[in-house]
Amino acid sequence: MIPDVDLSFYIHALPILALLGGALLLMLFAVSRWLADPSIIFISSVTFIVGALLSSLLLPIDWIMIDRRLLEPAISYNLFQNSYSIFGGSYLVDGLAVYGQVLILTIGLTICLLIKGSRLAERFFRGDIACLFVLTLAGMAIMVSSVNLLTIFVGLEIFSLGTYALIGYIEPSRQSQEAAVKYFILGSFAAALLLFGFAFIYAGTGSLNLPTIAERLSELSTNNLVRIAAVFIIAGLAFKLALVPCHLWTPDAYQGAPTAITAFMATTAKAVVILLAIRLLALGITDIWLPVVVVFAGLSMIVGNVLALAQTSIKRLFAYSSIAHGGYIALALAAVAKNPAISDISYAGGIIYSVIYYIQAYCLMSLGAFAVIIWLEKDDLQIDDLAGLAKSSPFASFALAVFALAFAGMPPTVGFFAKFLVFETALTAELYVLVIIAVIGSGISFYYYLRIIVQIYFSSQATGDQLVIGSSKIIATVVSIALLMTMFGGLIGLS
Amino acid sequence: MDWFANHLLSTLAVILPSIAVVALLLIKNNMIAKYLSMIVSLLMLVIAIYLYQQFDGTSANLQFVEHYEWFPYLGISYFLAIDGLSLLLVMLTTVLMPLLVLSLWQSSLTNVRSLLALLMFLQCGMLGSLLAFDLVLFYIFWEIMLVPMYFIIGLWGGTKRLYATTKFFIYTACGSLLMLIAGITLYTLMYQHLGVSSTSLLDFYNLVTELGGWQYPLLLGFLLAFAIKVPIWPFHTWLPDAHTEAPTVGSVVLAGILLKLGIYGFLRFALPMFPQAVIDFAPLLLILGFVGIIYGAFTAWAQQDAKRLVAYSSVSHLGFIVIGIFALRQGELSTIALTGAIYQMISHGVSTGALFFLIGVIYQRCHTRQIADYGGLATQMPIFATMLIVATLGSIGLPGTGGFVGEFYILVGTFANQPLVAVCATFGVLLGAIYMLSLCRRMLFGVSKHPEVRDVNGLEIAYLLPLIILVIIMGLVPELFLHKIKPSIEHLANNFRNYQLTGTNLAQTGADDDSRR
Repeated sequence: MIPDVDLSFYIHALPILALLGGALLLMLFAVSRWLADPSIIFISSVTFIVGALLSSLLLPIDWIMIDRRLLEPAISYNLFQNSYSIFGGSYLVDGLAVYGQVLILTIGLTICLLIKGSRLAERFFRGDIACLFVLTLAGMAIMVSSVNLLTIFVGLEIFSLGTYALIGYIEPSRQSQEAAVKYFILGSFAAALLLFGFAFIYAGTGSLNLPTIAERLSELSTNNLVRIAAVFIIAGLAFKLALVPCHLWTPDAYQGAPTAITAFMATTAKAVVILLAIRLLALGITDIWLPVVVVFAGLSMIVGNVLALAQTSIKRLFAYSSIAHGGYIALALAAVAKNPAISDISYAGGIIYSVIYYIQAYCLMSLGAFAVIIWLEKDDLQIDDLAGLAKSSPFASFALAVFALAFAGMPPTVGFFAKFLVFETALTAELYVLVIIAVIGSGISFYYYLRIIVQIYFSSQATGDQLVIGSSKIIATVVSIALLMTMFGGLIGLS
Repeated sequence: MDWFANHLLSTLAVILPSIAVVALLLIKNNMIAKYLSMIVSLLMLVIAIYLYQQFDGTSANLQFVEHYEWFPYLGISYFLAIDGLSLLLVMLTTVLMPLLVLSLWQSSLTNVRSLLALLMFLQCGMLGSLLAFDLVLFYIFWEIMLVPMYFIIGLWGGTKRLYATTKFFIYTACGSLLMLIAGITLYTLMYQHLGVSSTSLLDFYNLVTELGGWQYPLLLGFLLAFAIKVPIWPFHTWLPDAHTEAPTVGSVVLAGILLKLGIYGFLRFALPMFPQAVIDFAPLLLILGFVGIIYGAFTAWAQQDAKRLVAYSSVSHLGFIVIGIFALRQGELSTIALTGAIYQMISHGVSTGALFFLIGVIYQRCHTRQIADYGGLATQMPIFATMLIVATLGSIGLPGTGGFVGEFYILVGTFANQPLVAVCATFGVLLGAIYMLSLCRRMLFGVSKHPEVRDVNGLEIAYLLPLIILVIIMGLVPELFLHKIKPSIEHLANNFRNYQLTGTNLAQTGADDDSRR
């Protein structure tokens, strides 16, 4: 007997279906004689991603733009208005999910375009690799819209495995394979920790479904199993977010991976894990979270910023700076944990807004900066290589300088507004010591961001072979858009 | 035109500089760039003069208010206005700008059009900081000032420019971060106590009674930011390096306006927002100001480098201004000392600006800043010598120059409240005379070291003369400058502990808001 299923409801899963179907097709292209052409693969992967993006934008939920009020329902499981759950309640379409999907797919699309403009294009747009890339995006999209711990884990593994492969497989060299293996081992370890934590949650509450867990947790006053679970989960998340002391894989992985994949890791991988953290934080197990997140945040801000001072390779510099930025985001997450009164929807909405704003601002700046580095077409670019860039390619220099200043949080760039919101959140939560650490960290960060500018503009020593930018119009366009959004996005309230 | 008439401040601080920056970046021709920046800066001067004309000098209210919601959720607004505290500084900024452009007219510097674009950008930051009445807006403009100055020193500076400019940037940016944190804390406190989210200064003034013990850490945050900018001893170490390494235009802007913004910050933020903490911190600041006067003077005396000498003299002179502001007695500000402080800001801007221009003129001819490399210039360059002497006298504070009026007001006001401090500070005046006059003597008299050097040409006279004339006019008719700003100063002094400001044009812009909805 066939159960009576309302298929129209499954329209909400359309973005995922588009990506998964697309990945399958790309796999088929790879074995076809005519379709294995890089340009065809490029066009079709872009089509699949844009299709998924459009379908998630067109989802019939009452959600237009990222906005304090509209994110509020996303963080409370009691408010299911404007959201739909399908697949037996494990897949939720709400503001946060759609927001996450749009963010990830936009970044994925940008990365695709960047690769198209780089010399990696021939290698990347093969059926198998493009398929991996689209699958990775699918994994992320599944992860941000799941409310079932197992589905979340499946999504996480799909995207993690895809990323490991992408790092080492596109351009197999000793460095990139070492990076892949390092990331793989530590990433699997983190995944194991997370899974262990999920198991403890199941043991403690008897459910894998987040809304049910939230309900049961509010009934149980203290539950040691859940506390243990919280510790494991937070450790797993810290690994994925590269928070100190779980950051050791980051510099090597960032340096070894092809630059476009580094950009992909630095942005999307971070964003989805933070969105997951927001979902898990709303469970209300905050008494364990707070001290741990505070320590992670403080250490990341100090260690990331201090170690960045000593770097000579641009990619390693950005790796350490991304650790520091992870610390700022953790600072905002600590503010969530500090106030268990997450039921105060508008207040929690404000905090979530600052976290989300920070992520998207960070993604924007990183994409822009990495786009310039891809544009410069040099393997493992050193800071000293930038000397005299201002003369040879003024626009790229200007863009890189603006992105560096935005990372440092100078107004009127989005970096400033992101920092402003995070500090505001943290000060509202009265995390004064952490804020002071953040200020010290930012003070230190000025120095290494300035080093980039100093090399570009003030350094005149000729390094022999002068850097030249590639001729790609696509990358130029991406850089220009990212530049405009970084410079003026904050002023008009979007990012 | 009607729109512009209602948005004079936006036009002045945001629209004109932005247009100029974009245009200068697009234009490839240096000559057109010079004409364009000249036109824009003259236009700004005209607007500023019109503002000064229209400014109601009998009221302490905010005038020419522009107030629009910007980020309603956070309570951040776009809020520009002008009052007596900022009026003269706005005038000084706009007067200096055409002179700076003129000084670059025949400059041998490379890539002048980028320099002009950076100057325009700087102008936007400076005017914006002076006119902003919303903390976030102020902070944005405040930080905008930093970037162009960083590039001006870094790209056109002397041999040690990298060190100087990095130090300048990091020092100032760290100070600003502290201000940002203090500002956000204020903002969260406002939400806790008054239930409003707002970053408008007018709301912060209302918060004073709720702050209690918070006043102290918050004042410290703002104080450090401004003390670094001024700079107050012991936060001054970036200044001599930045001044010495900067190109002439950079030094002039730095001495003329940037430093004054720290003082302006004290007047606009520190005093009215944290009165109790200011009363308790005032003795410390008086001591720091006094140490700055004496330390700056002695260090200036020992300098061999003319620019460094003038830079240290700035530390000394700004110490006077700090003393004038913080000369409180029993929790009362002195109107006279405050007037002196504001007047001295302008007068110091004019005379030190002129001094840096003059040193730039002579540096262009002889390519050395060492005082010992000069001598006997008085006979070879009589016009130059006359101007240098007038600017020096203005800097020393000889009666008949602007410096005298400012220092006199400060000392009289301080003497009434803190006689001991005033007496001690007077030594600074004496020391000032010693090192400045010895600078003049060593450069102008004695044996000539550069026999073939020419006197200033017409162009140089064109940008030097206005400042020299201003030094004298400011000394002879101070009322000309003071009559518009008195109400604001008196209002600040009299309502120091319960400071309120209202805008005269608020009603009208309110109507604008309604019509937009």
